[in-house]
Amino acid sequence: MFEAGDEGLLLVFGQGLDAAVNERVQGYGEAVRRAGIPGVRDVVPGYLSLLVTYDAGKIDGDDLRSALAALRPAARAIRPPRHHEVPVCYGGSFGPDLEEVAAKAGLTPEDVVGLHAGQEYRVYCLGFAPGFPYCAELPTVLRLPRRPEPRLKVPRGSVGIAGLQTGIYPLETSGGWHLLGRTPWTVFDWTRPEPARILPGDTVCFRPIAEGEFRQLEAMADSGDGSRG
Amino acid sequence: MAAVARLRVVRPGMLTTVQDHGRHGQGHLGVAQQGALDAYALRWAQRLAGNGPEAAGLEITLLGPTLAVLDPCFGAIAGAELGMKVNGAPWPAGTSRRLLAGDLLSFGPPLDGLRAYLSFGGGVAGDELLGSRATDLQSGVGGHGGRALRAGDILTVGDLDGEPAAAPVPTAILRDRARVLPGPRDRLFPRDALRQLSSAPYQVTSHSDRVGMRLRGPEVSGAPGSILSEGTPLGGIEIPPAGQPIVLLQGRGTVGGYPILATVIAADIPLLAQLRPGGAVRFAVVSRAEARAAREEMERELLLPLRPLA
Repeated sequence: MFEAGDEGLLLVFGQGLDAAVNERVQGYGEAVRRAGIPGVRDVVPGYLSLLVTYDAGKIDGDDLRSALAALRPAARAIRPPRHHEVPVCYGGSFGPDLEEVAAKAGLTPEDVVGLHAGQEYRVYCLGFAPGFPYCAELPTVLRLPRRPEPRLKVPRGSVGIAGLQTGIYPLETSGGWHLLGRTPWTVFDWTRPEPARILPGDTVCFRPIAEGEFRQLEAMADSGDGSRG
Repeated sequence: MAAVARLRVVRPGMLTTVQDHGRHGQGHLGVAQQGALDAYALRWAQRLAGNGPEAAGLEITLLGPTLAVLDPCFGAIAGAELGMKVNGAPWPAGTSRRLLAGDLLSFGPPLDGLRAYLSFGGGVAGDELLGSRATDLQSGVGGHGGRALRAGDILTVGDLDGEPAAAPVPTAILRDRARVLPGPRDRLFPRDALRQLSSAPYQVTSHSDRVGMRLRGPEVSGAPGSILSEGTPLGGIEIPPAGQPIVLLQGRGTVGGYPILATVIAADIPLLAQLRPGGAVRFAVVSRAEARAAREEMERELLLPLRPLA
């Protein structure tokens, strides 16, 4: 346990990218949230650590340490893991960086799509924007540093890659990842009791779709009978 | 708010948003904290307005708005001294007063500090989302339609009356020394990184906003580069590979990929919130006991009685 200022504690569970370590992070995070310790504000899981922030006026840091140390991790995070097959329209205006990524990797755009959509990813944590799933790990040949200058506006639903990660932008935000395509899915919906569609521990794969299907699914999502599941 | 008063936004100012104590409890979903950057000044504005700490107010940045009062209400201003006026006559920070239909609130020139907080008896209305009315500019939700005020907007506030008063102490903390605790990731850095961080003042660059303050000054060498993303505490001092620190504020994302060398204590976030681009700040490593004393001192100040105004 490391101090993160006078109102935060960082619990570190391991080193490097490791699904088993992340599983413990998620289980512990769930246990802390369920425990409802007065004064705890937020419980934020990362890849290999858990940040617990608190109101120091309501709970002393040492008391919180003891309370956290006494907790037994929950067996499962939030709900049983789900598998998501995320439809993605790759390239063109949906994936403005597909050609460049292909060139840098010495591949054709079709190869990049095949590689990106050809495997399953684990969701390690949510963050950056509400419901943004950090998924890993990307095939080695597709691993590139972030773009040198982030885009000011990345459209909602954009699917990007950076380093060993891939993710989905739930809202229009700025962003520095390479954009390969876009999904018509609503990944985060503020109006739902469970606003995040994809949660840590879930698995994700990407299914290439044509623009026609994208428009169709988008219209269904907008009319409220979208394929949320 | 049962009964309401209204104000019309004549000019929106540089960046005027509805903010409160922030959005807590959904960080695991990636929902950002947000809320007033100078929470101390907002608390004073709410006390002066006669509100509880949960009420929302306006966060006003450097160049304030021009607001036309449409209905009688009771206003309170705290934080930076941005040259606020009522019908051209000064309205000093740290005081409250009655406002009448037809009054014109304006600002400028800004004298001291960066952010002022304006509230009203009964608070400021705004879209409530996950327990907070704070505007989240990155996600476009909360507060006044998820955005900064624009000319022509009608702002809804409470119409509760109050007794004009002044705060017993300055409502903006204007210092140039921010106290930090080491960590959480100081162990990823060479031994003298903390010494470098506290060796000389840093200048606040213009690339600073509600998300974070980018600083320029002594290079922190030996930063380990990117790490696997993890939770970001308020006041966390990130060190990107180039070695120039970024201090994370209430608008930050819930997770980040740069290691955090040290974290500014809660009691000193307000002073960071009042530093303008070009201003300077020096970091001082302190103990947990000092952090606690600083917080308790701040809480004591917030309980001091108001001074009635004639």
